[in-house]
Amino acid sequence: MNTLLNTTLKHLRRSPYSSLAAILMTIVTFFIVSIFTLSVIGAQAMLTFFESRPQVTAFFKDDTTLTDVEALKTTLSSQVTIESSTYISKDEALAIYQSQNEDNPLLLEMVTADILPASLEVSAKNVADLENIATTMQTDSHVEEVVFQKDVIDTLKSWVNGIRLAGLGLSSLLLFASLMTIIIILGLKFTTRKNEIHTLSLLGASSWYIRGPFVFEGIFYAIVGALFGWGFAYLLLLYLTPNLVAFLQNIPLLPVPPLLMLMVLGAELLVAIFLGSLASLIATRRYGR
Amino acid sequence: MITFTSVTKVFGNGTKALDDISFHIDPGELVVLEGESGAGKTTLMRLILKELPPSSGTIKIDGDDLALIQPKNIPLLRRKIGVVFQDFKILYDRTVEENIELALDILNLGSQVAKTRAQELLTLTELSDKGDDFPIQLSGGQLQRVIIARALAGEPKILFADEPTGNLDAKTGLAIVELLADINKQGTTVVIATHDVDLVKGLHARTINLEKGKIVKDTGKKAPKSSQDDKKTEKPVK
Repeated sequence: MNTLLNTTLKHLRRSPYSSLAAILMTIVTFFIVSIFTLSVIGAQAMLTFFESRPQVTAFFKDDTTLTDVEALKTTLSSQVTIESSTYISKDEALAIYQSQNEDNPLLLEMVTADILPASLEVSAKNVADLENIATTMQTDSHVEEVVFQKDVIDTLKSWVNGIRLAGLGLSSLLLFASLMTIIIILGLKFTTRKNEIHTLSLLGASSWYIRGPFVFEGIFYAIVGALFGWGFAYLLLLYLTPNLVAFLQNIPLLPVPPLLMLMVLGAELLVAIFLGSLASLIATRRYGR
Repeated sequence: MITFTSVTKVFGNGTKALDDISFHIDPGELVVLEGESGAGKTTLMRLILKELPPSSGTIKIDGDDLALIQPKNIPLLRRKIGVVFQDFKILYDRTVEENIELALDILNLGSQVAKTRAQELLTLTELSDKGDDFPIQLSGGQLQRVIIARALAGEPKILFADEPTGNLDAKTGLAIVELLADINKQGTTVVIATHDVDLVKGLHARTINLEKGKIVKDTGKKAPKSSQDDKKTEKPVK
């Protein structure tokens, strides 16, 4: 193992510029992969956040009793799986209104519990059921108005899918470019050392003894690229966190937990090892003929 | 140790390098394979190393039929055979000692063992003061000795020297031949392929003459020399 590592380091020292080119390519790749991975994770978390909020709200007419509300809840429960439902009475609605406008005494004076409607906020286990809930609510004679955030969810979903597709496309393209770069650089190195490799083979060196240092070299490029690419992406995220927190307001996505970042790094290192091994095996097989 | 049975080698362009040759070399024999350039000596070496497959016939090395050896086991075959290549096949970016240690490293010996063994081989080949030199700093005779030392590194059962005196003056060439004969006395089967009849005629060795890929003469196995015949001092190989 020591010999393999020493030979790998010797290969790297002998052609530093081509090694640097391969490493830079993998850094760019893993930087973009990290950015898109974090974006997809963030967008998915945002979607989950919205989906777990009360999505359909029914505002009741003034003469609605608690029995009528319970009847509506029972009807809804029989149709879809309800995640949660919260009844907010006129008085509770006033309390919420007051807490939201405590800085504006004029607004507080103008509003009493009588003019605020009681409401029922319902969230479903499955976001697809929200539409059924809204329809059922609208047909209930005690319901004055239904507020349904379907459009928000749909827009967010299309964004998540867009980010996911763009990320997958660009990451795949860059990973392929990195693969080709490593194959070409290792292939050139293998070709320039053909005489040495032939001699080693005639002296009885095993296939792994000859190919091992090239495989290690390919893995080295990819791992260094993954570490730096992930590191740069993390630094960028930390730098942007205050702005993102202000933008996202009450959506609790930031700061990103370090454990999540380590999981992303772990996954990228696995991809890097696979990428480096595959590239070097292809290079040594193709150019070693 | 080495058995060729009706071996023919025809290259892709139709050149017949070896034509239906058969011979057997016993363990510990000293054999001179004599022939002009193009007689097929190097092709024979490449067949022994399984670098090339024969067009027909059977080759056995140390009891193993080469046709039955799996590609993954070819390195194991090659470790049984030390080769002194006509074109040296030395690595010019490594020192003399590193070149020898390379052959030991392939065998996965520890670095300390490799260093000790390399020093022994440098002493045997009278190059103990050249270990840190690069090949380009050495004379032809010294280079040849490095290659012999490297070939012996793995304590091979067979030592095949392909034109070991090719580029040397008569005196240096003779010294190399004597070194190979000494190695044979330690029990290693030695095959010297050469076109230089004069340099090897003093050897008490079996001679196989190759001409245009055919064996035209085989003197057969020689009886061992008596100890009184041998005035040379034996040198330890290990």
